[in-house]
Amino acid sequence: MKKKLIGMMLCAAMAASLLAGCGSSGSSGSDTAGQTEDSAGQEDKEDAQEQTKDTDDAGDEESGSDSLVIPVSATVTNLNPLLESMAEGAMQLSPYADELYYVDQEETRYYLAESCEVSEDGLTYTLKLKDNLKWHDGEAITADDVIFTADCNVNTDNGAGYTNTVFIGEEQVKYEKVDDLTVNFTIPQPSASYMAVLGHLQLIPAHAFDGNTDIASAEANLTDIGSGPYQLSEFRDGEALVLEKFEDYYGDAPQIDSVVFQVISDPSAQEVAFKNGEINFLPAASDATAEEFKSAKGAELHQLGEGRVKYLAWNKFCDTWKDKDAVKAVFAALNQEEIVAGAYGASMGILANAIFSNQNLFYDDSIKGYEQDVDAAKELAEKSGLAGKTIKLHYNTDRTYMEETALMIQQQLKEIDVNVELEGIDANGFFDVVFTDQADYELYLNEYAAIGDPDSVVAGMYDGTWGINVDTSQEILDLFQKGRETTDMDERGVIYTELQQKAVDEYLVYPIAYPNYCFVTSDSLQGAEHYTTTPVFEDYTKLSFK
Amino acid sequence: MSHFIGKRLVQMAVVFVFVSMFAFSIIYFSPGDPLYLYTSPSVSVYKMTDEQLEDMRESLGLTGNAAQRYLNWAGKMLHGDWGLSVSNHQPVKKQIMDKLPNTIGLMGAALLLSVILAIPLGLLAGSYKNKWVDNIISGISYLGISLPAFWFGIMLIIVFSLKLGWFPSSGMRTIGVNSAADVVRHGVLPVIVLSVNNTAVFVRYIRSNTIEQREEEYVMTAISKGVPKIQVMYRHVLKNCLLPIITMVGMNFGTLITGSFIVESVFGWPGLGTLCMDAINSRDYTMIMGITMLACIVLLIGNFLADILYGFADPRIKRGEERENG
Repeated sequence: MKKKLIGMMLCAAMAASLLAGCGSSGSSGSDTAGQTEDSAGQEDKEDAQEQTKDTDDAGDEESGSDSLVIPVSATVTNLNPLLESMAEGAMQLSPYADELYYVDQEETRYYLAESCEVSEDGLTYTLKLKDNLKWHDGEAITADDVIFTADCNVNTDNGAGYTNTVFIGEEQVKYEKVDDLTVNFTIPQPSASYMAVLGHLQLIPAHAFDGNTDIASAEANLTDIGSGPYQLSEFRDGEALVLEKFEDYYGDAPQIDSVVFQVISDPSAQEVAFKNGEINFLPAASDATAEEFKSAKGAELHQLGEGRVKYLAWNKFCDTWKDKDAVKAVFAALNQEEIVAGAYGASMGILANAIFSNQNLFYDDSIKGYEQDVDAAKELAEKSGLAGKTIKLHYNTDRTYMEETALMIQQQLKEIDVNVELEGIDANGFFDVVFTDQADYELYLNEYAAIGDPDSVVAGMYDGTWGINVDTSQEILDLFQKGRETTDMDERGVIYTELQQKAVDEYLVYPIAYPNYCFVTSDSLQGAEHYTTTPVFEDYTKLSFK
Repeated sequence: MSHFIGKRLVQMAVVFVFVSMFAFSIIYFSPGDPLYLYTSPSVSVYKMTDEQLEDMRESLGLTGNAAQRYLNWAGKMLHGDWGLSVSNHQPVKKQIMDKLPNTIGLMGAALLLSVILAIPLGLLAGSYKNKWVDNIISGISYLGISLPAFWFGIMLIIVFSLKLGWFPSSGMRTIGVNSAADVVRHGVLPVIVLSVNNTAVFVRYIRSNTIEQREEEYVMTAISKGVPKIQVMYRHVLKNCLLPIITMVGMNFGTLITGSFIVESVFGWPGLGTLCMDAINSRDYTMIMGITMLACIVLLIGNFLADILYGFADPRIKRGEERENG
């Protein structure tokens, strides 16, 4: 009897503890997005048109919020910016660790660096730090930290992400301390993109690691080793990264008290959290979401070029393309506008016209891309023997809109009597299959980052560095080399315009779309419109809530 | 009993080894390079040289053929070294252990809730077979079996979080708050989602066993002697329904680790689910092996405990084993 009584009490206690939070208000959430679940619930109850109300009032409750809360699919695993290679991780560490400077199409914006001068021969870069820099622990940022950071990148076992600042190809860059604030970097051969590459470097403090460059598993990675406008407040791996403003920041004082990166991996759950007021930043995962918030009250949609190129390429090892007319037939058959409208909608992408993205330093929007001509395509398909064939198209399933694009290509090529078998592969397997010399498929869909200087990633895509399956002519390779060696920006512009045009003329690849990065913020957030590059935001001190 | 335990432990060790070899083979032979993060221009800005890649492979234990790598991994595992994550070079064991309590807490609560709800509902349904009570409970349990967890989770968020504002929509804690009550509040919705399917399945089993037991002579005897029906159900019938429940709970032990992947993603619960999904996508084989072997151990222990509990639940089983073992 006694046992039964105890058992029943335990069950009741368990049930009670599970329902412990029922009905309580969300006051403990107020320091995140300045929003309580109570007020969200009350507002929703008062409005008869719930669907419209949810959208219209999204973010409305954020007025006066002192925290910017951004959802992420996962937190960084540590706080060392050198060890973070994913775009989302870089976004999280952006307010926490400053870059040296940022080279844009219009200007160069300096952060930790005061200047970076290039010698006449283009081989020596003299980097000078500002003289009032402090780490979050109060120690001064000096040239020793620059040297230490470079040393860490030389040790490639670390998996450090800025190896391209200390290696040009297989040759190491030499660097030496000139004085407490100045370091000279001497590159082995001229590389015009090195200026932009070096600027992206985020420093780590030598004193935190005791000068030990074996940083991969260092305990210091979980301490506050940042240099940006926000310092570490709380780090819960897998839950949230909470940053608060750093009072001793060398630049403009941050206007928002804290920036929180909260793990909400599901896009639907993110949307609910935004409408609920738990977050005040929402990446628009689809065109439908972007359209919904375009005219929503209390919310503002932002669209930035993501700096990527989505493209269709032909397999140079496949006999189907021995006759180049077959390639021309495919390119002429495609209706690019229909593909982009169908796959990307009105907000998530724009027509691509060149192999450089619209965020590239030397992008030329006057380059004419491919136009559809179905009659010519049919003729070319007949002539080359492509008509009546069944060809295989691989697409990367880990990239957005690839499947939709593939389906539309399949439909459009039917018009010229070409059957397309589609095969989606995840990213890891995709690279294994597509970027080898396998000849058993004809086409593939992929994308690459083409932001900044074309000599960084874009050149590597086409000159064989990454083993990408494209048939780049020697003339285009020569133009990439010329662009690399020329330091005059105007001259480089001419070279790269010629290069982009040649890529079109030679049917190198079919650039389909430049994807947009769309995000929604509460309309009380000011300053987001200043930024035109991803990952957001380059300078968090420009953001504020009205 | 000690003979039985010894025999089971040996069996468990053998199963563990076979599972580890099988899991390792699948990962090893699946397409893709574990160092994809460093060989793909989509992720890395610098193309490492072959020498640099080889050095990294060596430091991460990715050199050699399948057998060599397996033995290397197994040797370290036996010494408690689960290796470094290929993605972030951090110790696998630490990352898993950091997340494990979150997942076990969630799944444990869901399993417990399932059992607590299923027992009375199953008994009730079985007692009133084909009556309206049974029909309602059976209907609900069919719904529970069919409901996709992902969809149900989103629906609960929309209703209870967005519309009513009763519960937070995601996460395990409110930023800046450090209390158990806050964690429980965050856990209510995911626990409900996780428990629905198990509850429905357990209800079906218990109902079916209850109907079977009700036909037994001892039940009719007890009722005819005037013992209250509810007492018959809980004192006699339930005991005999326990065996399949123990089996199911034991088999579900493995889900303490692996059963919440989707729900963790929907609710942003920082558990092993998201860790494992990221590891699979990036071919982080050390992390995948760590989580797989942990799930295997937990499943084996669960089944072992279930077997032990059988003996206590039904002394006939214990006596039978003692006779068998001499």
